[in-house]
Amino acid sequence: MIWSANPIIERMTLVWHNHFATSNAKVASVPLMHQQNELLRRHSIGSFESMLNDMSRDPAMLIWLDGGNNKRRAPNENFARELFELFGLGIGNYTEKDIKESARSFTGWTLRASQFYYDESQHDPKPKTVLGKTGPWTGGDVVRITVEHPACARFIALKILREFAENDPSPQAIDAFATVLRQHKMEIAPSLRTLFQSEYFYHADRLGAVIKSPIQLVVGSLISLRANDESLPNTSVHLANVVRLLGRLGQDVFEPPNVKGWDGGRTWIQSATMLDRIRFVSALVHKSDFGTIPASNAITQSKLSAGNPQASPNRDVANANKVNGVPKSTLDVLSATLLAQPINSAQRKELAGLSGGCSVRVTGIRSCCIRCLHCPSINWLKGVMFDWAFVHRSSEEIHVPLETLQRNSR
Amino acid sequence: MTAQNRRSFNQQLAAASMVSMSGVPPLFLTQALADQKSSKADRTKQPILVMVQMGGGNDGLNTVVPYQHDTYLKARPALKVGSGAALKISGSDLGLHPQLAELHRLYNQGLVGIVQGVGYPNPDRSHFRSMDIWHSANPAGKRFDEGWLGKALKQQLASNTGSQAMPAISLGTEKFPLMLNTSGLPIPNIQNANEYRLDLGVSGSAKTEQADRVRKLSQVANAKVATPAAKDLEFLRSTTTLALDSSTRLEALAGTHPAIIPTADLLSN
Repeated sequence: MIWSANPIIERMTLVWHNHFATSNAKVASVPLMHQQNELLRRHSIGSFESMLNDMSRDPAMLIWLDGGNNKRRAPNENFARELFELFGLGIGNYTEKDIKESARSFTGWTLRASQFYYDESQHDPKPKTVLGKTGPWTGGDVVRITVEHPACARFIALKILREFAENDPSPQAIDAFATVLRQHKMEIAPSLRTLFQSEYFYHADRLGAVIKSPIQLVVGSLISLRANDESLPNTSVHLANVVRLLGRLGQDVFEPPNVKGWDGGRTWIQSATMLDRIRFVSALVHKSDFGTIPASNAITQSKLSAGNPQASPNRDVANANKVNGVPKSTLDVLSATLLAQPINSAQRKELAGLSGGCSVRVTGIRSCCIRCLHCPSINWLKGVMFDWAFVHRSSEEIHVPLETLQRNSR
Repeated sequence: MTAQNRRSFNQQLAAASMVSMSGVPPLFLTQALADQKSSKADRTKQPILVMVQMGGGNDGLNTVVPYQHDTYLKARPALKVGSGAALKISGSDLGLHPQLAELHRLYNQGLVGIVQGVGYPNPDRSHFRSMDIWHSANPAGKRFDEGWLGKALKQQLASNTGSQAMPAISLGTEKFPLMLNTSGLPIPNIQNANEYRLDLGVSGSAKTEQADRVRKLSQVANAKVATPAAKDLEFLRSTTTLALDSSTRLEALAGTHPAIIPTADLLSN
């Protein structure tokens, strides 16, 4: 996530990890968790149906939801229930009978030598009725019937809107994006492209409408400050401590709390995690537990954000005062880089007043940076990837047409 | 909880500090409670209500066992607790599982209450919805923002003039329990009291100055009226204030009441 040249792939891989929330606490196999992670990455912006199909045969998932123990005479309903409740439809769109019949369709799905195996002798071949459709269904049929159900597109639409646009989208917004998903046959990339170019997405009401997850805060901040750019002098990330911090903030990757995944939104924020969030942002732009990030990185990043890919940390940092030829204060430049929302006049007074005007000397940049990072809006999602990840490095490799995105965002 | 206890619960709540735990109960709390019992302990006379939430699976029928019922005996053909093994609850046809001997002893002293058959009509069998209903006591709920304990606390404090700066704390490694959720009450959650500190990377007057600025920056932040951001900002603001206040208070307590603050030794036990 921190170093990827394809941030949208990593971003969506994380979204799906939370959607198909599987924990190594039960799977207890790093190779199988890795295999599932590769599955999510492979399908991250592809067809949702293909992903769901492969996921129903994924070894880690078969262990996680007991799908590997689904016998003809003793169907296990765990996977079937979550397929409807958490992966495909959401509560209220299916019955207990649908779950039982669906579990029968998945009988025979099992593991051999830690990989998927179809044991025909354990499959129940009799007809089943799932979501109103009757036939001698297998697991693959159930996946198809699930994705065809109108509730599926709405369910996935809600999930994606909550990730990128707002925590509590209106039914109209969900319906609109569900229509987009259906038009694109549940293909993720073209649907995201439409979303990221929409007026809805850039509407003022969406500003600050998503609270950053720990990963968005931590990875986003590191990328915004170019901690991932090894070409910059004295710049490094201490990954082990970053991962430990994510756990304290409530987001242990590969160990979501349960099959529902992380709840997100306000549940990320409580007094203990707020203290840890403040500790983290205070330690950035220092040599700290989390790595070394010179303050000049922030200005370099700001130039890139302003569309100047030739920016180098060796240039006179005073140049940063000009953005697209318009002179701006360091404070303006930094807050535009780091925060989802421009600082207001009261905050400006608070930030600049105490620092004697926030000069552009490096110590000044550093304290300016820390002050911006202490603004509460640091907790709001800013960009579509991990903050401004998409404005640096090889943006042509990214699958979303960023030129359009940036143009529309003005 | 017996009927008598239930009635006095609300009265006690008004005066009580409250502790709610989720996940693994930290050892220091057990220690703190033991200290409080000892005559030496210099403690306020106010009672503390401790609520322990143990999440996870439990076979209710084999915890409080209807050991004579045919339906039970049919439902648990292999795992049934027979009438010989069950720890009888006098005046009823129920017994406790033989592993619950300590609980049974406390029950006989009148220190344990049991509520049976808690549920909601037409359960949809979603674990998650069921837990949301359990925490909110709201079977008809579509959204679950407020927990029953938070709501009860808020009502009691509203009718009580001397409201406390920190009426309850939540301890444990899990996320903040929905049960305690309520808007407008400062309830911190603490995973490890030794690490519950404001750390700005500086000390002394610089720390005071920066902490003050963090507080002011959150106070003066604004957002477009009636947007999701405006509501979330209010929440971020109150949580920031709570984090700053409660960490300061806990740090001060560590100096004056070391007994209730866990040491590294206690926690590593």
